[in-house]
This record gives sequence, C-alpha cells and structure tokens, in this order.
Amino acid sequence: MHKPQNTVKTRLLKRREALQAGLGACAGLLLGRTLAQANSLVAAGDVLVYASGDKADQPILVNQVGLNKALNAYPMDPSNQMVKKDLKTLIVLVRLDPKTLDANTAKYAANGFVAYSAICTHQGCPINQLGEVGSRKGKLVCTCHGAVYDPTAGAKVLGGQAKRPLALLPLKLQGQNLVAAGGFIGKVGAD
Amino acid sequence: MRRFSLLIAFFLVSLTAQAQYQPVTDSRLLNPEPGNWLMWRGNYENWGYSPLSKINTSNVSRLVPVWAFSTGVTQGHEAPPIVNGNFMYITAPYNKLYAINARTGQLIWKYERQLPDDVVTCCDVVNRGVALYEDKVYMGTLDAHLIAFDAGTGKIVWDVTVENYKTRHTITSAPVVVKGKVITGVHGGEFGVRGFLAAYDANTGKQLWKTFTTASDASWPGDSWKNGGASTWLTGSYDPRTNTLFWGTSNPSPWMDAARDPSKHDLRWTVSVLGFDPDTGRIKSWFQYSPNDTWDYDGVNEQILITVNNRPTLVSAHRNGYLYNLDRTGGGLRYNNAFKYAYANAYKSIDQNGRPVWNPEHRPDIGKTVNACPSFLGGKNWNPAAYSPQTGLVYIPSNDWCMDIRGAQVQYAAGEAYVGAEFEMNVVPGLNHVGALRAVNPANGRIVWEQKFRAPLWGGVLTTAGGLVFTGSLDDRGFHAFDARTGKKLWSFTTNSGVIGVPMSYEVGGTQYIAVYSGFGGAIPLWAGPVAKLTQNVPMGGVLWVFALK
Repeated sequence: MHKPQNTVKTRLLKRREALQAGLGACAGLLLGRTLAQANSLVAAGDVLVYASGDKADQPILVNQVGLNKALNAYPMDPSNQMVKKDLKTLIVLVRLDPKTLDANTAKYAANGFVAYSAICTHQGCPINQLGEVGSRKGKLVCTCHGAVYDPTAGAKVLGGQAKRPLALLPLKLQGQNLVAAGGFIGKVGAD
Repeated sequence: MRRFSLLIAFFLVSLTAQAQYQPVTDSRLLNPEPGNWLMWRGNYENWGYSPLSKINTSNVSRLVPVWAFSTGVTQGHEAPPIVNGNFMYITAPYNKLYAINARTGQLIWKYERQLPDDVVTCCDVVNRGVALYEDKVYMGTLDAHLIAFDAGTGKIVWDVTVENYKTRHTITSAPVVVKGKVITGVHGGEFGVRGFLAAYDANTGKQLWKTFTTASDASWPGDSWKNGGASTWLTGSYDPRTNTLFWGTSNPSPWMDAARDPSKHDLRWTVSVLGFDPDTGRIKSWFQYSPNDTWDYDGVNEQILITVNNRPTLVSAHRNGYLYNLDRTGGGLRYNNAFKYAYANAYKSIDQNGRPVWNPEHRPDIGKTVNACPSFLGGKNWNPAAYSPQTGLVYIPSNDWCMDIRGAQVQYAAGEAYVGAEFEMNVVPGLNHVGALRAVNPANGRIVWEQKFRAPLWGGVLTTAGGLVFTGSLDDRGFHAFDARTGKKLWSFTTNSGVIGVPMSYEVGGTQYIAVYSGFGGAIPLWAGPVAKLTQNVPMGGVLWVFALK
C-alpha cells in the first residue's frame, strides 16, 4: 500500500501542530509507511530552528536549552532563510552532559548537544521527548509504540520493536547557533 | 466449450456451497448446536465452552494437526474461527477474511480489505472475528466500517461507515447479532473518542440506534465527556431471558487529567459494564468498576453469564486483578463480591458497594510516579477466560505484573494520542513467572489450580465437555490441554509462533476438531517494555492450526 507523498506530509503537518500544542506525538500504528530513504535534505551549514512553540522557525540558541532536555528542530538553509519543513528533516535535539556520550557519539556532538532524525525507525512516528519513568528515564522514547533509544550511544535501540537506531546528525557550534556539520548518517525513517 | 464447462462447474460448486450453508437463525444463536461455533465465545453467555466430548482427558494425548492455514501476516492473530457446518470464517490482521472448508482446510473465498494508509490504532492491527446471521457474515474494520458478506460467496451485501477513522475510531472485535440487529462497539480510548454502541439492520445495514457510553453529566469536569473514551472495543454478552446486552467500556481519555477532582468526578460510564436494551439501545443498568480510574484498568473484559449460588450472575475477571460477581437479576447490575485472582496492590480493598478503596502509594497522578500492580495491561486483558459448566470453574489467562506509571498533562487534538501517562512495565519482584492460567471458583474466589508461564499469557481459553481446558503460550510457542479438574497438563504442541489466538472446537462429519491461531503480536511487543523481552525470540507470522485425534 503506497500513498502519495503529499498525503504523508499533510498528515505529519498535523502531527507537528500537535507538537506545537505541547502534546506527545502520536500513539498509533500507522498502516502505510512511505518515508523515503535517507537521501537527507539536511546539509552542512543548516541552522537548527525550533520546530514548534512560540519560537517556531527561530534559531535554537545554546543557552536556551537545559541539560537533559529534548526538543524538535528543523534545519534552516542560512542562504535563503528557508526552513526545511519535511518529515524527513524533523530532528530531535538533546542536550546531555558531554561526559555521558560514548566516543563515537561525541565525535558528532557539539558542547553536549546531540541530534538525531526524530522519525522512529519502528513505524515512523515523531519522537520529541526523553522518558521519565523506570529504565526509560533519560532515553529517547517513542510514544507511539514504546521504542526506546539511547541518545548517548548513537541512538542505539534499547527497547520496543524498533530494529535500528535513529539516523544521526553531526553538529557544530557557530556562535550560539547549532549548525549541521553534514547530512544524516544512517537511514531516516521506518522501513 | 471448455470455458462454458468451467463456468458451469464453478456455478455448480457455488450452488453446492450455497446449498450447504445453513442460515443462522435467532433460534440457532440462542441454542447453538454442539458441533458449531456460531459466535465469538460459542454462546451468547460468553462461556468459551464446547459441549463436544469426543476429544477428552483420556485420549487428548493423541491430538495431532490435520490441516493448517497460513495468512502471510506478521501482526497479532487474535481471532477465533467461527464455524457453521462446513463453513469456517477466520479473520487475520488488516481485516483479511477467509472462508475455509472446515473439514479439508481448502479456501472457499477470501476478502482482503484495502485499508486507508492513514488508519491508526494503538495496539496492533488486529481483528477478533466475525458474527453470523441468516446467510451473511459480518466484520467490523480498522477504518470503522461494518461489512456484510454473503456467507456462501463472499460478495459484499452492504458496507456502512460506523464512524470516522480519522478521529481514530476503529473496530477490532466481532459484532453480536441479536434479533436481526448487528451490534458493534468501537475502539479508540487512547485517542479521545467518545465511545458508543450501535446497532444495524442485519439485512440492509441501516443504523437502528446508537448509544454513547460517556454520560454528559457532572461526573466529568466541564464537557470533557465529549472526548472521554469509554470505548466499547470487546464483544459483549447477551441474556435472552431479560433481553439485556451486557457490554464493557474502556478507560477514560486521557488516563489522567489535572482537571479531574476524585471527590466528584467518577467519569461515568468509563471502566464500567452497561446493560443495554438491544431493541432500543437504552442503557438500563450499570456498574462502574473503577470510578476516576488512573491506571488504565479498562472495563471491557468479557462478561461471563452464569448462575452462582442460584443467582443469575455476571462474572468478569477485571484488569485490576479482581474477579467480580455482579447480580444480573432482571437485567440489573448489582455488586455481590470480588476476589483477587492476580497480584494486585492498587487498591486497599473494595467496599460493600463495589467501589475501590485506593491505595495512595499506588495511585498515579499528574506528575506523580508510582509503582502499581497489575500493570495497565491488566491481571487479564482482552484474551477471554472460559467457564465450564462441568466444574463450575472459571479459567482465567492471568498475568502477574506491575508498572511504573506517571501522569502527564495533555490536551485533546483530533486524531492525536490522548493518553496522559508515561509508563513502563515490570515483573513482580521475587516471582519467576508472569502468566498463570488459573482455575477459580467464582462463588468464593478460591484458586483451585494454576499453571504458571514465564512469559505473559495473551491467548484465550477454551473449555470442553471432554473435561479439557485449552490455551496457548508465548515463549515456548505452545498450545496446551489441561485437565479441567486438576490442572494437569495432558497435551502440548509447539506451534510456529506465540499463541495469542482464541481456541475453539467444532465437529464436521463426525470428527471433533480443535482450532487455534498461532501468530504473535498484539499489545505485548508494543507496550510491555522490559517484560516484552521475555518474548523477544518468538517468531512472527500467523498460522491457523486445526487438530483432531489420530
């Protein structure tokens, strides 16, 4: 069952609106799954901006994000100020204690910030939060069907039905801005 | 000429098939023949009991598979086959429906629904079977349609929209047919639907009544009943003597909300069992298991209609770990008593009116994390218990497990999750099992015997007049037969996958068969968190297994 890409976008825009309302993302099993393979739309130099809320589309500044917090971001092309709003470009940004990152993840982190594709590799739901209960505490959790990823270790799968990690987005700092240091590493979205 | 001959042959086969199909009348539904399995649990009373006895305690060791049917689907297979004579109807995930020759296993016709891509469910794309009436087969769908098929040919006779699937109304369970009305509930309590039950003319599909299951009253803060849940996602039971249809309702949507005041907001009729007049849809009786529930102790678990201490009684093994006895005299619902059948600590007790006395240490709230038992998946979930009139016992596929749970404030948005909680399941410290098949005396709650399983139980239970109890398990992929009186395991078969199907029995051509789906999936791999690791090596894929004596 294939669906037109525009259908996917329309539906996921609704999800983004939900995120703007401060909701957890979907809790659902999506029947169709058409996320394209990586072919990342994020490019080196893109500036991360808020995906939702009062500051939507504004650059995320390093000092605005608390430790052990997660939020959704989109990349913005600085050459034309266009925010790349697409399911494939939705990012989950996490700020962690740099000492907690494993060596490989630390290579792509900036000042304790790590960024991943927000699209769960199980069924494609957007991820926007760290767990607070039990062994999920401090881990990236998908509220759709409970997939759990370790943000300190390349988003490796810790629980649930996901089979592979979230795609990783290399970061660098440019002043107070968080900037992509390259495209996604790994496949974006579900199979 | 050859094509003409083939056409004639097909026509004759169709005619023969049609001729063999015996219409399902009201009389037959009220008194199903022992050899047929005409509805979800075999009878209106939800017993899950087969009066067949050719397969019994003395010969069950000779049970062997005689045919199997693979669906090619790797999601959860939770349906029982429904059998009328030679015709077996079995559904698979994604609303696939197969009519199969019950004796040979040969396909007669099939229907595979083209579902919209944006259908969303919380807990797998399951379907739990069909209903039969006259010459038709009825199936509810994930996109919230109700469809009537010609039983002999599979031709769609009518197809009606029950609700808008884009607001996450779905149908996952079998309808019930009462006096020519096809009655279905809906699923969607994790998305803020307003639950309802609706009846349709069996011949035309015309809606005859629709009754909402949240009350628009002061038991809710403001108008939150409009998205208050109380979905009706498991098949109810019917008492023809009082003309009462009993149906359970789900959790409130969301699970927790800071606007709710426990001293005045019971959130009626969430987590309840309701008695409906099936002629009009009027709610004429009710009992609320868990007023102002915060644990997701959903109230849809099957109502088993039996006689206890000479009183007409509704027995239900509820999510909270208690087996309830409700007096249903005259179609009413009055609390008698409740007995723990699974590990539970959320309540201190249940008072004389059936109202839980909460244990504050184990009651979650917005921003308050607790550990509570059973988990939100319940001491028992959708997978039905069975009753044996031979032993008078209820056989409960129970689970002993707990959860860390914490409320998280949410706002309603159509089509989005509306859960209001974060949670993680865990095992009970010190126990080395989760699943336990328990034979319970409903009169006094005594556990007569139990069989423990390392992994959760997620399949239904069948009792038979052969003195047997059948159920399936997960980590060992087993399908098992136990002595109904002693609990001794008498037979076991290792299937292709974990067994979460609902076993049933039927007889064709003088041979008794036992049938069950094996096909892991459903809620456990999605939601059981660390407990799901107990099932992480279970292969996926659905196969219907049919057994008979060698």
